[in-house]
Amino acid sequence: MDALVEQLGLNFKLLFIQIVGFLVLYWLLKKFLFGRIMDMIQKRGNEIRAAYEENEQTQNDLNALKEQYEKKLQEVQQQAESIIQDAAQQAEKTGQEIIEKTRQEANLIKEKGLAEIEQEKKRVIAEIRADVVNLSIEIASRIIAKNITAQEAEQLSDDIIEKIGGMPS
Amino acid sequence: MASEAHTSSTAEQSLELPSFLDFTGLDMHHTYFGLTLHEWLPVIMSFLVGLFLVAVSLWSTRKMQKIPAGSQALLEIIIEGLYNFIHDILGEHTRRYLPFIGTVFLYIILMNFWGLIPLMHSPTNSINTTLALALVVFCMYNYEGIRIKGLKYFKHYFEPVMLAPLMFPIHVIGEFARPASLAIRLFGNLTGEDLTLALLVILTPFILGWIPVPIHLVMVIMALLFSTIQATVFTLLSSVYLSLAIEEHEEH
Repeated sequence: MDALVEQLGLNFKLLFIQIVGFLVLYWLLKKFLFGRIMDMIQKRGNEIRAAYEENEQTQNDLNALKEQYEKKLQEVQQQAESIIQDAAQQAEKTGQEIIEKTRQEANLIKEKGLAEIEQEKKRVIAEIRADVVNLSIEIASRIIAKNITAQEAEQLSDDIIEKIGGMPS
Repeated sequence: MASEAHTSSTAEQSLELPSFLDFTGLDMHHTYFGLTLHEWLPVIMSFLVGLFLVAVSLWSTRKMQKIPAGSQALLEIIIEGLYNFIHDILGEHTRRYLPFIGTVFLYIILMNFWGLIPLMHSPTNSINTTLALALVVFCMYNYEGIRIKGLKYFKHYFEPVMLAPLMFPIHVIGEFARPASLAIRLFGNLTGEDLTLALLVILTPFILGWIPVPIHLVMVIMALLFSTIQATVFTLLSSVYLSLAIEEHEEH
């Protein structure tokens, strides 16, 4: 046995030193290598998981928001459409009213104008009639050289006017 | 005994590549604290490996970042790989035992590779290093088994019950065979590897005189492979022993 131990070079002092050395190395590596790196790997794993979860949450929130916004947008569009429709109707109505009013005014103006024309015509006719009376009196007096009464002259001028004008009175 | 150790170390030395200590002018046979400097060599190398590991760890994790880059990313890949590797064996306990198993793996694989660096030696080609690791693993899984199962842990020494008087010594021997096999497997492989490398390097001058022909290069590549395999085997077996010790449904 001793010979075997000797042949192998077994030495308990060295054995003990190697055991202690290994234990010290184990302690150091556990503290500075495995501890730190395992912690970091775990921390990173947790973080990634958290990030994924957060991402999912955000995605869900986003989807909800999107739905909400789409709904709102639809509502707004509907509202806008109805407003435009209302406005168009209103505008049409107003336009119609304006046209109506304008037409009425135009009619009024036309009637007034016609009346004025009629009046003027009457006045002109009266004037012409007076002139014609005087003129015919003059002419008659000169032609027949005798004075006719005003009543006869008027009768005469009326005849003339009727012959000349033929206008509706 | 001292003289015997001396002769055995000189016998070994002839098949070893030089270490950086051989160039410091120190006498390799000078005795420090009751052991020659040559016998201290694995401890010194282990210390350098440990120092390297701790330095890399400290440097890479000095300011941890959410988005890993550089050496932090590399270490994270290694550790996650280790995690997935032992997760198949330890399941839900993985997180608790990852530092231990991970330390074993990183320490062993680096010690194995260390011998491939010129002027460095693999500390794992000394039985003291590998046995130390195996004993720590042995104590660790027994401790965890007792911690979790209490006295029930020792039940499996007496199974099957009918054959308990016969089976108990067999179980005990089997139990002690585990660390022995762990230690000797690693030690033997690494010793063989380093011996082969040393031999090939020593043989180089016989090919083209002093024109160097890197015939040991093939062995270096194979050594990279074997070192990885041995570290993996050690880690895998440690995990299996640990899982057998702590699992409730132990039926064997």
